Parts: sequence; structure tokens; C-alpha cells
Amino acid sequence: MKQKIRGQMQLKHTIVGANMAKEAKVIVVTSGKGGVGKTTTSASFATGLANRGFKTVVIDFDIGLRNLDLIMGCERRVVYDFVNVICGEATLHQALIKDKNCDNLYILAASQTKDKDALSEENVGRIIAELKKTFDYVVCDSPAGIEKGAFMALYFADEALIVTNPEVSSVRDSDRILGILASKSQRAVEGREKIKEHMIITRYNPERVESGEMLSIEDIQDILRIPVLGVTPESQDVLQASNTGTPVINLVGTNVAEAYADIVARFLGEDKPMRFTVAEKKGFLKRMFGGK
Amino acid sequence: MIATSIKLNSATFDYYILRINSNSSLQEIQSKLITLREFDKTSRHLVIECDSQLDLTSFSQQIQQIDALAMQYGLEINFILANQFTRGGIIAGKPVIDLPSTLKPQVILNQTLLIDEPVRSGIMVKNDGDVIVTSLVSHNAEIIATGNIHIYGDCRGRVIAGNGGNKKAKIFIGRFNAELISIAGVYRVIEDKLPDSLHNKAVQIFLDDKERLNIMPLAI
Repeated sequence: MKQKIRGQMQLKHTIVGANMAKEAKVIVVTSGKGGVGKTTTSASFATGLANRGFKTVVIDFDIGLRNLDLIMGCERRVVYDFVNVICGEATLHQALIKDKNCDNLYILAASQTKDKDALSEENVGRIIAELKKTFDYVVCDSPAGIEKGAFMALYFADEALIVTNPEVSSVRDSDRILGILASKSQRAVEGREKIKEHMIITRYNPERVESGEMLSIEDIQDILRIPVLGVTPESQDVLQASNTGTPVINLVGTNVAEAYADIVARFLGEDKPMRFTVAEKKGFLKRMFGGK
Repeated sequence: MIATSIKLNSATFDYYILRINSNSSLQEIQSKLITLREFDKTSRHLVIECDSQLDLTSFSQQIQQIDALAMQYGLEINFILANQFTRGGIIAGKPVIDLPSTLKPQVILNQTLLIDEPVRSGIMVKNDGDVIVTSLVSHNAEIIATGNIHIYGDCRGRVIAGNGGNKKAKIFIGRFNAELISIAGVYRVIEDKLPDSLHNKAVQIFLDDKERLNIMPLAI
């Protein structure tokens, strides 16, 4: 029932969107809590959009502890980074790295050595405005916490993906981040239409949810009250993907890759049923001989 | 008599202003003090304001008499308001103090603040007047109102009504699961699980005549 209604609402959204001129969208991937899957999600989400034909750039805002370039597999190709562009030591064109698999996807790495103090609303705003001229989507990978790096990542956002693990401390921190999005982002400060919030639940384990150890999708929605864009299952493929330097959505056929592809599809307005949310019923043979 | 509060040496207290002129008799003043006592049993501070030109020596005597009278009723004259009729540092042992204009008694406008969105974690909503929230209040969110607080959705945060001393303020909640409730400074932290009649139900919270917090289910 819930999904049907969402599908109808999304249809309305696409019809209205088709009449307006397409302006670039800034999407922040944030969570508050660390280690929930922001960078994994940013990499796969941006790759998914690029694979669909949209010119996408993904920016790492974690100055000093960068790892987006590692996940995307381009850490050896970083010549200039975000802070170099801010300080005028390099142009955007020199700093942007084209993804080796997809022509539409570009990466702007964070600085490993410079201080976060280089970031300010004016200079970050300048760079994002310049990126919006040539790209369809600007994905900002936020660091954990609510300090300067996270604040800069969400300040210019039009839409937000809130990444949450199905456990209490992650949900609490996501709630806090939602409060900050609603009160301290540029849209809130200037009194414009508020940021569109989507929830992505990562590392979801249906068995643990059914046994009552983990929060269910309904529990999380009850606390946060924002629509769920998608659910990704707990999987060992994520670690394998980051080890080989490719976003997990490229591991075609795995559960996580399918889940991220569904998320991109739903974001673009398609109606996809939720998968990987129900525990698999083990058949007799499986129970006899073990196996996942 | 006007009641208002004043900040003096970082302590706040309520004081009552006693307006006198050269014609005020001791009987009039005594009846005023009796009325004050009946109206407010806990008041202790009195301030003299002078309405017309007074002769300094007779005024000084008058102050001393009023002081002795006030003592009988448990009231203390703290200072004399400086205006065009009273000047000078000390009269009859009481200092003459000039209140900055911002502290002069003002009528407070009670405006109700209406919030339609969820009040998220870490957000503090403060209002002079009532607050109405039609959505939910998250954990660690605070609503502070000088008047009443009405929450139509879930309340999981902290609600502080009657801020500033209004003991008649009330709190109305649609689904009660709050962390902290307070009315006029009387507060309670809710750590244990509430009984089923209250947990996640519609409740009304008020101060009874013994200044205890009462939580009553609303019959909806």
C-alpha cells in the first residue's frame, strides 16, 4: 500500500519535472554517524547515475582523511585536489579525474595534507556553482560528524541521501543531521524550498531484524519520518569491491549491486519494489547441509 | 500594584511596586500590604515609587514607618525607584536606583508559535507564549514556552512549559514518550518505563495545588 502511493506521487513528480528546464542538482550523501556506508553509497550512486547517461561529478569533502579516491580506484591518478582548486593553485579542469570505466563520471578528490580551514561558504560555493554549469549531478560525499567538513558538504545541497544503519545510535545521529539540514543549509537560511530528504538503509540484515536485534524499516521510518529510497543488504561484496578499487555497483549480479541499481532507478522516478528486506526461508536441504 | 521581575546581581526575584505620595496614610498602605499578602503569599520584596513631590525629611520618616509596617508582613523594602521626584543616593537607609528603561514593567504579548514540521534532535524551540507542534518532537529536542505547549504527534524530547514562573501552564501531548517535563521550574526526568495508560497515549500535564507534576490521560 505504501509503495503504491509512493509510485503515484513519483509519477506526478516526473511530469512536472519534464516541463521545467533541467538545472544541475547537488546531492549530499550524509549520515552523522561514521562507518555506515556514505562513501560506498556515494561511489555507487554516482556511478549508477553516470551509467544512466547523466554527467556526474562526485566530490570528497573529507579533508585530511580522504578515501573516495580509494573506493573509486583512482588514488594513483590524483594530481590536484579540492583544496588546490580552492586556493587557486589549479583549475577545476586540472583537478577533475575521469573514471576509468565510465565517460560521464568525474571525481574531485579531497586533500590529504591540507587543513579543513581552507573551506569556507564562499569558495566552496564558487566551485559548486562552476561544476553545476557542466554537470547534471554533483554528488557530495560528506565526512562523519557535524563539523566543518560535513557542514560544507550539506550547505549547498538540493537533495540529501541520509545513510542509516538499522541500529539506535545511527538513527539518532541521522535525526540530528536532519535537524541541521532543515535549519542550517543554504536553502533553510535563505528561506527557499527545503532540501528533499531520502533515506538509505545500509547493512540491513533481515534475520536479525526478525529476531528483534536490529530495527526494522518501519521502526526507522517511525523515528525519522522521511521516505525510504532503498535498502542495501549486509554483504561481504562491499569489502571485496573496496579492495579492488571499484564501486560495488559494478559487481554486477551481487545483492548489493542490485540494491544500488534499484536505488538509482527509484531516485530517477521509476517504481521498483523493495528487495532484500525479507529473510530467506531456508529450504529443507539448505538447513540439512548448512550454507547461507 | 504591578508585578514584574528584575535582574539584580545575577539573582532574579519578583518585586511589587508600592506607589505613594504625600497624602498616603499609614492605614491605606497597611490595607494595601494586607491585600498583597492575600494575593501572593510568598512575596518578599517591595519597591517604593514616588508619585508626587515630597519633602525629603517627611518622606524619609514615611519610609521608615512603611519599613517597620512591611516587616510585620514579612516584606522588605529593597530600594526606591529614581524618578523626577526622588533624587540622591540614599533615603532613610534605602538606595535610590534608576532602572534602565528595558527593565521597566511592560505588557507581554502572548503570541502562539505554530510548528508544522518535525522538531529534530538538537533543535531548541523557544517562545514567549504558547507553542503548538502538529508533528513529532524527536529525542533530545527541546520546546521551551512561557505559556502552554500542545504537541499533536509523538513527543520523545524535552518539554518545558511555564518558563518564567507561570504555574498555570499546561502541557498536552498526543503520544507521550517524553524524556523530561517541566512546568514553571518543577521538572521530572522520565527514565523508567511509564504505565500502559500513559506510555504513547494522549496526556495532559499540569501542576496541582501542592506544586506537583500530574500526568493525566486525555480521554480521546
